[in-house]
Amino acid sequence: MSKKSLIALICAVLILAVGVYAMIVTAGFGPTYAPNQLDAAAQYSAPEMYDNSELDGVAKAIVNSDLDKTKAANVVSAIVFDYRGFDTLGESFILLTAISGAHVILHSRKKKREEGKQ
Amino acid sequence: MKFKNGIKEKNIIVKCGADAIMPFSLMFGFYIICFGTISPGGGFQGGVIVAAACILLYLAYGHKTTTTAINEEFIRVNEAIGAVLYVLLGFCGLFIGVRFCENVFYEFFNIGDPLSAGTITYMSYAVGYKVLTGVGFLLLLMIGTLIGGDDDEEEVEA
Repeated sequence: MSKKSLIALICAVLILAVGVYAMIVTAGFGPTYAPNQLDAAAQYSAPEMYDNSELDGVAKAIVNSDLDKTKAANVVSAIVFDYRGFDTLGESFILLTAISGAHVILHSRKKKREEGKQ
Repeated sequence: MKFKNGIKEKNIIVKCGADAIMPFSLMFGFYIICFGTISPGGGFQGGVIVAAACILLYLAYGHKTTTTAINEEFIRVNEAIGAVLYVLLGFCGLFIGVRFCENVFYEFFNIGDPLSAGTITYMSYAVGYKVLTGVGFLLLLMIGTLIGGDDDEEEVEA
């Protein structure tokens, strides 16, 4: 075994050990939400039954007034397209700009290659 | 036996596998776009799933078939149409008299119906269409330019 692959092996074992340790430590914290009390399918069919009395601040304002304001059963999509519509607009125009840039670069490359072929 | 970039080309197993998976992948992607506002999902994610079908088509049939089967210029134009549709739907709120991107036209359906969320639903569809065509165009561009430059494509066809 060469020196390089030995170093790589040691690094891989170290990363694995850190990952396993982090997994063991974070498993002690318990889940971030209670999966036994959360019936996601029932919530989507009857979103007004969801108990959201423990929320506070902006989350309470958005979740409580979501059904009256938007009638969207999915609060996330209401936030993405209504409350933060400008954000989604910018997001999709970033994609448009990135694809335009890729098109400019790759198109010139394609042209050059086709000229070289002939 | 022919290898290109580590992938065996025109393999019968790859071909049949792609044929079998393609309808399900397309249906899954369109389902995620159409029901994004009442279930987990949305336009962005579903669009990327549908666009990934280009990769399946390339893996099974090679770049020549992919670029002839799908019109690149057509979907490039349609990406811009999706972006304009999103902006116009956002302006619907301004025409009614509320702020930009505010949800309107939501009185016609019960909560939980696919179209019950008003313009949120249509904006989600617009973003889905935009991402579908945009990412699909990007993948086709990469396939046609970076990989399709090999000269031994004709040998395989014969």
